[in-house]
Order: sequence, then C-alpha cells, then structure tokens
Amino acid sequence: MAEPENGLSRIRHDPEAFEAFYRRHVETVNRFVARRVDDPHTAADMTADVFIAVIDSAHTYRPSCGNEIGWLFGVARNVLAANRRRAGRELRANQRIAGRRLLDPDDIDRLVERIDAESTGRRTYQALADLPAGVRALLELIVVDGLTVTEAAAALDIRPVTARVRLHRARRVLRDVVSAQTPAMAYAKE
Amino acid sequence: MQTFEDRLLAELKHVVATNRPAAESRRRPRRWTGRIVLTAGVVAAAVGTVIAVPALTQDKSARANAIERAPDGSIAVHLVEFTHPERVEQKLRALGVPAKVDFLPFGTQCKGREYDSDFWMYEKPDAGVFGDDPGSDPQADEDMRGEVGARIHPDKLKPGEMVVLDVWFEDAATVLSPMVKRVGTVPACVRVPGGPQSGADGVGG
Repeated sequence: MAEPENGLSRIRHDPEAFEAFYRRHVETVNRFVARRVDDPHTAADMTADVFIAVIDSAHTYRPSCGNEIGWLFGVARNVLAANRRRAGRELRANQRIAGRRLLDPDDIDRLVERIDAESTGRRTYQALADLPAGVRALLELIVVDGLTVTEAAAALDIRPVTARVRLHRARRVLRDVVSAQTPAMAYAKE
Repeated sequence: MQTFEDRLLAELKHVVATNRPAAESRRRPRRWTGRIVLTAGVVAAAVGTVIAVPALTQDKSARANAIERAPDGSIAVHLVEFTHPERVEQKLRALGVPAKVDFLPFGTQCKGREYDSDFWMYEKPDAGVFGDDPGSDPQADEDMRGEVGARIHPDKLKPGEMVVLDVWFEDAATVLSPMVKRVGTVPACVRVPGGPQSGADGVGG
C-alpha cells in the first residue's frame, strides 16, 4: 500500500524537499547542539547525525501530533541520547557523515562563537542534570530551548496535559535554576 | 564561499538522492500490483472508516473503565469512557478506596470544589495518595503514556479520607483534578461555570 503522505515523508527521497526542510531548521539544530556540547568538532558531528536521523525517520512524523519543531526536537534528543550511550569508537565507525570532516577553520571559528553565545543555555542545561529524567527533559526543552509546552510534549511523546502537570510540579526547581527574568521562565509561568 | 552548513547540505542531499532509485526500482516492476493494492487499500480504508466510526463509538461505550491493583499495592484507574462515574466509584470502593467521581464537560466545575490548575505545585498536595512525582517514578511516566488517569496509593489514605476525582473530557482531551477530602461525605456535584477550557495550552489529548 502506498505510503501515506504526512507532510515530511518526501524528504526521505526528494532532495529538493529535504533542502527546504534543512534550510528551515538548520539554525535551530545548530543552536540545539551548541546548548549541549562545547566542542566544535563534536557539534558538527552531532548536527550531521540529527539530519541523518531526520531523513531516516521522516515517515514517523504526524502533523496531528504536533508541529515540525516538536518532532524535530524529539529526533534531536534521541540522537543526543544515542550518542551518549554509544562508545565514541563505535559511533565514528557507524557514522554515515562525519560532520567534522566538513569543517574548515572559518567554520570552526563560527561554531566556537555560536557555542560561546549559547553558554547561558548550556549552563542551565548542566544545572538540570541532576533532576529526575522526566522533569529534566521537559525543562530542557522549555527553559533551555524555548519550546512551548505543547511542542515540548510532542518532542517527548507525552500528552500536553501531562507536560503541564509535570511543569507545575517542577515550578520550584524552575525558580531555583532559572532567573525569573528570562522569557522562558515567564512563559513557563503561564 | 561555502560554509559547513552548505557542505553538509550537499552530503545530505546525496544521501536522500540515493534513497530515490531504490524506492523507484522497487515500485517499477510492480506497478499494476501496486495500483491494485492501492485501490484495495483505499476501498478498505473507506469501508473501514464507515465501520470504524460506529465500531469505535460502540467500543468506547462498551469498554469499561478499569480499576486494577498493581503488585506494589497501588491502584491504577484507566479511564476510557465517561458515562458512568458511579461504576468507577463502586470499583474503587471494592478495592477499599472511598471515592467520589464526576465526569464533567469542559467549561463547568462542581460548586465547592473549583478546578485549580496549580494543584500539583502545592507542597504535598495529596500526601502521596496520587503517586510519586512524574519523572522520578518510572511507573508514573509509563502511566502517562497510556490511559491511566490516576494511580492511587490506598495505604496513604487516612481513616475518614475520601478520594475525589473530577474528570473533564472530550474526544481528544482529558483533564484530571484529583483531590483528597479529609472527612465526611462529598455532596453531589452542582455544576457551575468554570473549570479548564478545552484547547488551552497544556490541555489536550
């Protein structure tokens, strides 16, 4: 039976459709990665890994479950978790595109600048490290990445109401970790 | 001048392009088969839709809300239909949990026990009766992916306390506002305007 059109399935086999998706989101992915790693070579590898995973899993996107951003962050989080689980040697051996090989000195300078620019988000990300996994995942996406509750829920494959309950329970943690002046915190208060 | 992003895009487009011939070569020799299968699929889908709607409706109303005791002694409340709250109360009572359950349309609430979206942020709002913190308890996380509306720990209920479950529902959204009443009976629900609104951020299925 023909594969149902889900809005993103074309990017698996249509270079133009993929390019459009890539240009829409490459900056978002770059910043997501820069908030989590501080080495430009690792950042380049991870960016490549995220888009490879996007190509491989584009058929899983369902517009009814949320917008592209929520789905994309879900994919990126899975890539990040997989990278942490796998030993570096195994990862390099299986990597289909080694992003670091595509870097030239100017790219490295730009990546370092971006990583520096995301240092606040990275510190927040690290401050959340000791929290229970479910709470940390939600706070990361809302406070560090600036997603809405609904988008974060889609990224985590949980119901929005579940995300909201979890967020309420984490309110005190939010106050301790994040300045009340930040836009993300203001949003989280809604 | 090309950047890392440009070079990465070129490599990725190559990966995408290599997916295309494989997909086409699979389809080409099976064109008619594919068309027949597609047609049959469309017909099946159409029939399925016609059948599925009443079937789904019947199924939903026929499926009972399940109340199960877990090996750890906690009780999982699975909510799949919202027409007989008294049956949920009976099942909970049979497992030793005095309960008052109401199913409410969005935009309404019971007088005297108004909806509070900040319920969960209170310090120990339920003294552990409704389970551990989602995120720290794998079971709680797992519950939230399924149809478990609440997990109740009866051993945390004190004598004279009663569980109160107000549940707002519609096709794609359910909101649960569990409470513990300390003593006495809980009066029948008198609906007044208020409660959660369907479509509000964080309220959905």
